[in-house]
Amino acid sequence: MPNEAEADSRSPVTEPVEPPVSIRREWCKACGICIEFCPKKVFDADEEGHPIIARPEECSSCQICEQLCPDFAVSVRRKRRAPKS
Amino acid sequence: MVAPEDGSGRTDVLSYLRVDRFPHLWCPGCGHGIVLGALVRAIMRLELDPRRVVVVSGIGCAARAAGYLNFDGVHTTHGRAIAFASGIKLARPELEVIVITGDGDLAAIGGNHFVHACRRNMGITVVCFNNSIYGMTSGQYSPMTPYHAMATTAPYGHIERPFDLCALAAGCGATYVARGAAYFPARLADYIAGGLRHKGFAFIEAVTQCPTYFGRRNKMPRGVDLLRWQKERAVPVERAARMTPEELEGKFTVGVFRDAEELEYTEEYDRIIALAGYREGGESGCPAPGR
Repeated sequence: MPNEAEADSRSPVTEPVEPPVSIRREWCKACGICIEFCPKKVFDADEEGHPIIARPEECSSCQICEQLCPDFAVSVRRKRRAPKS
Repeated sequence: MVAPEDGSGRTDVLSYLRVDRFPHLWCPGCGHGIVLGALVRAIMRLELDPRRVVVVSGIGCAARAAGYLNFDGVHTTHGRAIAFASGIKLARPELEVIVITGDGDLAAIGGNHFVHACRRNMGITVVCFNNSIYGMTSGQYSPMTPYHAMATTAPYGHIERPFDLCALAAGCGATYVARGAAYFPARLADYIAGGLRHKGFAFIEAVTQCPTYFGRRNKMPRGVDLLRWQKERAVPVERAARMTPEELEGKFTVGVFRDAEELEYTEEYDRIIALAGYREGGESGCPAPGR
């Protein structure tokens, strides 16, 4: 998880923060599809065009990036359900 | 990756893929991985037993998908995937036989196999990765290259009209016919799942993108540009029914075009075996059908 530290510093959520989305950089070919079509604009491009998870707190776990990634390099954890009281 | 003893261990998309061969060979921005993902999600949703799935492909970029799927499969000769798949289905009708093919493989060299498979209505599922071009051999036009588009072998613009593959399949008798696009992967998975559930011959055209050899020559050099093109041009079949031919100019329709129940070939074949008096281990006038 290369972006864990970044996520921690940005997200206001109190429980241990790990972005729901993760990128396997060794499979990523920097096509830019996830960056372009994420409805919440979670990703920015690094200097080589690979996505970086710039705004993890915006991720709605819609999985559009996962389904549109041609390289199976993006995966999204489904949102955890609110614990029953 | 070793296939699990039973299907229960497969819980996510990657568990159906031979990830030890990743990154795959497709170009940056190529849509084939998106279509492959949709196919896997359809198989997951139906909880098909991986031991009963056979993937058959021909030659071309799309055909390489068979090698990334963690099922038994056959990577056959150019255009002949449907012929091999027909043999497998006849010998083992209980198997789920899936053909992965490209537009050149299916509609050009394999065109004759395709039309007759539609006519026979054998219960196999054909998924055509239509990227409008021969990508693997560097961008020659295919039967699906749009009118006036540029290709390596059409440097002044293509003067042939492409097939409407879905109309062709339906006209030849295919009983399940649908078209989706890489830009709409969830709906594409729905269409493929519909085809897998269907009893007769199912044909699903997946409009996908080749940025390297189609896009670059047609002012859409990135996968992103071609996906945006799909987003803007796709019209659901229900809405298309209320549009004029002029309004539909330059668009393509998506949706399920045909879903009909008709006699399935292997069932007919079983009936003929019974008619001919074949008994397991017994005397009969016909040779053992080998199953």
